[in-house]
Amino acid sequence: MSDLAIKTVNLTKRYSGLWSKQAVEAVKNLNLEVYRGEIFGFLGPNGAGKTTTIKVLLGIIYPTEGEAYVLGQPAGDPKNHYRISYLPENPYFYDFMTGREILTFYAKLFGIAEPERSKRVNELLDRVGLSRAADQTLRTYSKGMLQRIGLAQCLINDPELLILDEPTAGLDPIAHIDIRDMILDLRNQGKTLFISSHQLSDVERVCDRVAILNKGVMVQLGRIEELLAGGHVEVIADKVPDNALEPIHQLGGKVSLHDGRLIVEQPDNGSVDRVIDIVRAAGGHIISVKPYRRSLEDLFVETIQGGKNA
Amino acid sequence: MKRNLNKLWVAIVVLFLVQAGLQVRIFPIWVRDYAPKQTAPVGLSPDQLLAAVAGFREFLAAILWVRADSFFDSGNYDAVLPMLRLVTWLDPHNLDVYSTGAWHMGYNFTDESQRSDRRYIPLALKFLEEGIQNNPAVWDLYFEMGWMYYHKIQDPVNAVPWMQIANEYPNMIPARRHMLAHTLFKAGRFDDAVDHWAKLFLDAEKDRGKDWESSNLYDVRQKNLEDTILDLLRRYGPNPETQPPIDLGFDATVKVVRPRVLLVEGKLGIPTIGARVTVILRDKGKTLRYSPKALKTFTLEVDPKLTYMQDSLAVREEKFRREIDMSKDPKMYPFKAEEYEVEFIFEPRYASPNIQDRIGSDGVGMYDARYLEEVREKPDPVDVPEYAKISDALRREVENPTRETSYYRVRKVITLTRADILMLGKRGE
Amino acid sequence: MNATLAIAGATFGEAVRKRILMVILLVALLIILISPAFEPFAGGRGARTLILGFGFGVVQLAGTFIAIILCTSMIPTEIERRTIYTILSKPVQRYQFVLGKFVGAVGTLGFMYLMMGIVLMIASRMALGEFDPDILRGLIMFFFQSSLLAAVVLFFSTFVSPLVNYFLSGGVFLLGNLLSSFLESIQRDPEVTPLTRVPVQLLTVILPNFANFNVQNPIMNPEQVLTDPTAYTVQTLAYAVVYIALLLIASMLIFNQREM
Repeated sequence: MSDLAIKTVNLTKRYSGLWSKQAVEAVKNLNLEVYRGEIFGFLGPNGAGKTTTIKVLLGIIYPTEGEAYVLGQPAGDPKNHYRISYLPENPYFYDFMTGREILTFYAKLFGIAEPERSKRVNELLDRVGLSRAADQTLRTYSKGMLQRIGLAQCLINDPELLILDEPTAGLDPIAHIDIRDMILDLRNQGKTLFISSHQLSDVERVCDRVAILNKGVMVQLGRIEELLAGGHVEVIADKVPDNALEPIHQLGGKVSLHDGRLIVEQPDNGSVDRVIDIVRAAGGHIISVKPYRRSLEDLFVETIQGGKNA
Repeated sequence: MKRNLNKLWVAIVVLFLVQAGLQVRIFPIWVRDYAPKQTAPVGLSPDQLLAAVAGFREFLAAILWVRADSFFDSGNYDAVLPMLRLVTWLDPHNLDVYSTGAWHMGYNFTDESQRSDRRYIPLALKFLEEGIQNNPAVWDLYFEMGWMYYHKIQDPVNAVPWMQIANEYPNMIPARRHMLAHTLFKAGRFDDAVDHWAKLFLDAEKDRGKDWESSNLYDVRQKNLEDTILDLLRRYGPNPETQPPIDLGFDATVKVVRPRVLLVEGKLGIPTIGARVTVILRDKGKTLRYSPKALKTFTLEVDPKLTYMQDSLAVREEKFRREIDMSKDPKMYPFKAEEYEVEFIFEPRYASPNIQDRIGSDGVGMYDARYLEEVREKPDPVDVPEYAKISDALRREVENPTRETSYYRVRKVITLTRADILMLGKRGE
Repeated sequence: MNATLAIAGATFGEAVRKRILMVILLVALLIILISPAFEPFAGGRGARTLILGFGFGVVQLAGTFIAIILCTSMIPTEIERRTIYTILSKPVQRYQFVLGKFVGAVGTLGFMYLMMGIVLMIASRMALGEFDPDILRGLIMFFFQSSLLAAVVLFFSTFVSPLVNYFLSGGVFLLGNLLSSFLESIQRDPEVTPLTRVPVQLLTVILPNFANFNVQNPIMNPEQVLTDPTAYTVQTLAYAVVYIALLLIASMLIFNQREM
């Protein structure tokens, strides 16, 4: 169990409707396993149950059925929270405090005493690039600055597990990259990151494994490479005589002509070599061979729409 | 975790019982020292009620009392009564309201001829009783009660216990202590009066040279002590001036001259000027009981069906005569009963010193063949509040009075019917 | 303890920046300061009743409003704005959160009472030329009254919405002020049956009794002789502490179960 950062066993959360007769099952029989040291992506459309699951992990709400464990301990045990941290979506803090004051506040909640406390606060402010604005009130902060304070408060206790809800939402592209780098950096330090996000490109770039939640049920789970396997290879060639087109077409790929160039989108199943052979045998000239993975977006849309039709 | 939870539930139950116990202990002290008045208020609007509850009670009481003052000024005496009720409800420790209110009820309700409506006196006594119950540990209202008996009702015997209680309080105004001596004297307890003057005199002697006030007090008390002793010697000593008794030849008649207008006249054989005869007209058999116990609870209204008139007639050249007009105050003299008594009284206790020199302070020097009476009386028992600061001996004495005093007076009663007074049957009314 | 105090500090910081509370405080201070101007209306008892009676009334009213306004929204706002999520994701026990909120509220009340108390004492010193230490007792009692009210409001806030809480707490405060008087008038009246009397007696020991803390009467009638004021003060303050502890524990128990 100790190599699992997060584990849920048949986790179910049911909200009984007061006015409606039907109960709503926000999360159904979720069996989730997040390994230590990995970056785990938690995806799903709005209302899928992602926030509910996170709330259970943090002890903000309690399971109706099933169990949840964080770092081997039952979820919600405050003592466990020394080792984890949480960045909420659209974080909202006491806006009368300054950046420095809010971090100091959180540091006090961990029982970090002076002089260590000031030291750490200053380090964190530096790390997220808010040293200059540290003594302005949070009310004056932009969304990006608030997000960075959010990250800073995530790192006060040097946690083993970070739970991040939409860490890059609303940030400019440079900030995006900063955050992504930070996440990778943290993983290299041996930390586990559990990220819930709609920014599929970011998720695709940093996550090791992902899960997709739909209507409270986990419908996809696995390593990125595996889930996104089965893309296609794009072969561009020119000077290909017309009689070579038919055999290429028969290999199953999409064939099109553009400006005298042949563009073949061939499924990545080993038949690309045959295409190249045919082109070269026909006297054509290979310009480029580019593998295209399936995008996470594709997977997502397929899964959800499939779910809709199921 | 389960065990901790159970411990918390136990803690809640325990704390609940502790707070309940504390509350039970706090309540009686709160009632005595800090509460607003017991009875539900009449005539307060909801927002006034709220303001009263929210800690503005005393302030509201002060404001209302000022309003009452303006009613006094404009002569709107009826409006003052509900104010008394409100103000004492808000602030039952406001002594001024109780003493002023009692004075108001006792003295200010009069008819066109300035005769007091004596039906208000039991109300005033009840009001003072309430004030005493709310403020048992200060002397002020005991004194006011005593004063009401002594001065308004002219009943010194019942004034004595109250004055005695007031006197037990160390912070009583020194000059007011003299009233106990005067009261005792008028009640016929001459030795006790002298004893009290002597005690006051000795007290004053201690602080004599301190300031003007102290030496003034000393002088006054010395003079009173001397005068009292001299008066007693003159009247009761060897060769008393009160013997032989003087024959009063007392008599009185009543004639109805107009509806509700009586002509009373009579004779009283006292040669010294200044004698006064009291005349009372009341529903037959219904005498006013001057006691705080007369009413069960304090009300603002007198019995509208009760008729009671009291007046004081001057005796000139051994004769008295007065026309008493009760037609102008129908509210005060409703004349609902079938029969009435007209009572004439002359008694020595409140007569001027010259007169008392001749007939004695208790009437030993006067005589009448037909109407002389000896009145023997003890004070009514007094309910002393638990927290009054008096000695056990005094408490026993006032709760169960044993001391009887007596005096002589002349009294004549004449009966009239309603028809007589209203002159019904004459002139076709 | 650290966490509780940190939360208390944050609560205090937020409270003293809450505009409406500052407005109430300012208005109260102003009224107390200009109250000597109303002297002609007070008549015989004059300056003493005016400044102190009115002043105490204002202090108590302000304290009541502040306690209610501050505490109805303390916890619900944190839940609504989700600031509570970042706090509960730290090693903070739920009870520490409740306790910290309460301590912060009491600190705020203490600050308000301190301001009002200073002004009241200055006003009374200026107008009456003396400083009566009994004024301090009256202020402290009212402070505890407001703290008890704050605990009541906090307790309700763990399971009802702020709007409902306003009415609930206001109602409990009103009832708790009137019950003692009502019980007393019942006890005086021999015609009241036990059927009516007993429920009222029960209510008096169940509900928080706010009237106990109104000790300003003797300050305005100084010739009064009190029955052992020290014992009364000690018992009433103990009552406040016990009842507050009761409410806090109950609040913590309820909040522990609360899902957000």
